Amino acid sequence: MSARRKAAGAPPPAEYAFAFEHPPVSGNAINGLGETRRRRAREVFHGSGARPLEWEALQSYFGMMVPLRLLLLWMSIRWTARNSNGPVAKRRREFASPAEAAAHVKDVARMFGAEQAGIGPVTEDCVYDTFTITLPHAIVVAVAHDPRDMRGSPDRASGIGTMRTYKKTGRAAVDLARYIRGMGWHAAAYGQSAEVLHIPLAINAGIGQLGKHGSLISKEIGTSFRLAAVFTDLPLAYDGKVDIGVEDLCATCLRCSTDCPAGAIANAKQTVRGTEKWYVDFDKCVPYFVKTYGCGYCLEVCPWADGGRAGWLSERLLAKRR
Amino acid sequence: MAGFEREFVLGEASRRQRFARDRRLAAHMLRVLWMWATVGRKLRRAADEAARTGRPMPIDRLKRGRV
Repeated sequence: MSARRKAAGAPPPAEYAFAFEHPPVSGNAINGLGETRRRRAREVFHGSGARPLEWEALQSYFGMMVPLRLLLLWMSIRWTARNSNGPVAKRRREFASPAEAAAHVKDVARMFGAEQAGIGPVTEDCVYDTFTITLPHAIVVAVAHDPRDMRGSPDRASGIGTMRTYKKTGRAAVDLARYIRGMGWHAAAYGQSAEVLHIPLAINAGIGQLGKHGSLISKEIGTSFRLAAVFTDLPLAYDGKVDIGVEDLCATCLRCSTDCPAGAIANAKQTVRGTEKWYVDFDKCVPYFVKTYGCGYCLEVCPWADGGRAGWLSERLLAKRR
Repeated sequence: MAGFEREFVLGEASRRQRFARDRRLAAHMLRVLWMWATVGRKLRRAADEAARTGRPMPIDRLKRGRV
């Protein structure tokens, strides 16, 4: 356990003041754990309203239990997100090549507050089953948490810090989408959205790789960050998937799986909707997530957590492989 | 919470429609804040009580506006 974590103390135990009288269908079944056939993901928690959710009671309970500051931040995010989509300028700006457009868009994303930006395709595994793909390209933006907020994770301050980071990523995505629409191309922002899966999008966009804790690991900003995406029809050059050595470390590292207070992280990859990948037990993770206003403990104990060290760690792992 | 994308995000829309949407969204948020302050307060107290007594509160009994 790192010095930072020792200073913060042990996380609260996985004991809950709430329970289901009639437990809903397992979130792992909804997520397609053990299914060998490829299919799109189904909404399970934080739904878009497209259909009633089996875990809706826990979601409502979560909304009522959060501190006022977190609720106000959520409201602010929603107010910004109302402009996720909008009118497109009639006059269209053309670029010499998709590569030039991609470089320009990434510069603009950084100007709007993104710490990392990548571009990839919108594929079937990146959106929920009720979503219709109309815009083929995704610009994914990432903003790191303030480490001071996350020091005591999981606690009230880290929950509020996480929401503050969501606000920054959402703002960057909404502003970027509006900028692209101003250039005469369609664009829609998906910040804290329940319609798209940000992690597969970010993997396609070369932001990072999936870690054992089910979250993304970036060479530039580590594990402690939030994502948002902008879908557009502006032709853009893709960044492509990256290999930064995450698989090499996660295969042997036991840090998150041992330290997870809810015991939700497995040490082996599992088959989910026809793909073998790292998977976090939904039924164990989400109640603890609700209890702690958005846990994130696994992200903080991860050896990649520190963005400054992630680049060094990646180079060491790739050199060892060679 | 409401299906935000479906209820409050417009595509091509007139300024008037967008203004109407803004008013609806503001009303929705006030409703959420009111729920948090009234129903949520009761719920938070009940959760504290459940934690103290060690008897978990059955959350699937929760109905809209009733604890």
